[in-house]
Amino acid sequence: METFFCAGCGRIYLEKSERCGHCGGEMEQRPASGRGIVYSFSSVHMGAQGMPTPYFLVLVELEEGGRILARLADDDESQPSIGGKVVFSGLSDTGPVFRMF
Amino acid sequence: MRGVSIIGAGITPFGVREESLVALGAIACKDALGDAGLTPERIEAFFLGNFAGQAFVGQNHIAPMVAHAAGLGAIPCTRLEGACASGGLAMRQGVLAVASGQVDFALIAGVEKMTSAETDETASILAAAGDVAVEASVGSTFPALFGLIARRHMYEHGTTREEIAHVAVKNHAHGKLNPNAHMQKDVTLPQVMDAKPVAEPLGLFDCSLISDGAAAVVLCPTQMASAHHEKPVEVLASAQASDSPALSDKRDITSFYATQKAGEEAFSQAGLSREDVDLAEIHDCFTVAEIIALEDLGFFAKGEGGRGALEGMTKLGGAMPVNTSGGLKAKGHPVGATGVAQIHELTLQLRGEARARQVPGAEVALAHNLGGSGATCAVHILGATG
Repeated sequence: METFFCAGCGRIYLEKSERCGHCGGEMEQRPASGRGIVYSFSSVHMGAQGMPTPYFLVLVELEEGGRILARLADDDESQPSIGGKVVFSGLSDTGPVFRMF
Repeated sequence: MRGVSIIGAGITPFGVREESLVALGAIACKDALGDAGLTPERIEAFFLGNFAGQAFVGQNHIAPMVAHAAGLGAIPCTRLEGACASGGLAMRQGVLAVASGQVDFALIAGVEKMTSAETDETASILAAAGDVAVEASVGSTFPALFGLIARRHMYEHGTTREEIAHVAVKNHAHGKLNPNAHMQKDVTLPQVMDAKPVAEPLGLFDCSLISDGAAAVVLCPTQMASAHHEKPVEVLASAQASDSPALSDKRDITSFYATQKAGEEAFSQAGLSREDVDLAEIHDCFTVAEIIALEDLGFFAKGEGGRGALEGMTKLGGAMPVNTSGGLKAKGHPVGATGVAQIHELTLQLRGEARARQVPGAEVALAHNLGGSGATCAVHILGATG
């Protein structure tokens, strides 16, 4: 897995772009293990417009540092816990998806 | 800079209102002007807090519209947007305009009309107060962001679900005493704990209300205030600070840095300590947000904020009552109006006019208004006179 790191503001992206979407800074490509731990999580029952519920949001702290807000894979039936290990599973229409492992 | 005082306060009842966005604003303005005994043409500048007129009812550019509807002259009219802190920002700009000597009489209002949108549409409009690119696009709503925050607060600081739920019980008990509150009824601890989940660990009764409403206040120099109102309320501090809204950008999601900064600045301006504050209106957009704000403002040590409602310290009759109006939780949260409505409530309290919810002998009061997931914070400290 590759991550794209903004040297300007420190944001981490999983999709490649020339410039940071937040501060316009230049992006550095960095290899990443795709592993992280759950920093916090919430099961969302009343969601945003057009998004079927329920779904799990996880704030993931990546092994290499930095945090990303992501979805837990819909077919992952394990109950997340803070500190629990997760691994990147891919990008969806709603951004990054992780699985417990 | 010269001292600034509040000489008039007005409000509409909060709830599901038939009036238009502009009419609600105008009603609150006329109420405040009447309270100050001023004709509209005396006002020299108008500042209006509004978050999302365009998204909720298809109307932008509402500051001059509200001003016209309230009978103000061809004066500068400015709308401020800082998500849920829009009203607090309007208040601060008005204070600065009078303090600097630019104008003598300023009118401040806040207004939102939210109930004409469907709930999921409202959730999406509110989600735009966060960082859409990395939060709303992933499916986060405001309850979800505060669900993540609550979960981490419980994990790091041992805050219990029961402590969080007690904030709702307390604020509903206060709202029952406020004839302008959206919900004037009690909720029990089991009702809050067992409510339909919205974004776990938060349920329906942990969330503030989707409301229509408006509030307004009139400001003038302190040296002129006693000629216009028998009980003017002095603005002792007006502070504001900012931070990134995205949770993933924050080192610690169990505190809001903008609240800490604005709070420190406000206490420094006022030359007061936490013990001097008799009551506070705290931005309880979600139950857990009241706990975090009480910690960030220094009223409780980190991780101890949950004791406030649980042990009754922040209840009417307690050491420092919080959200005597019912807060956003029970009084309602018409987003742009909230910051000004907090000032309205504290003005009544410091004049001794809060009736059934009066804090006896209240002399110093604090208003904390938070935008989004902590990207904007306005803190005001007010003092009674005479």
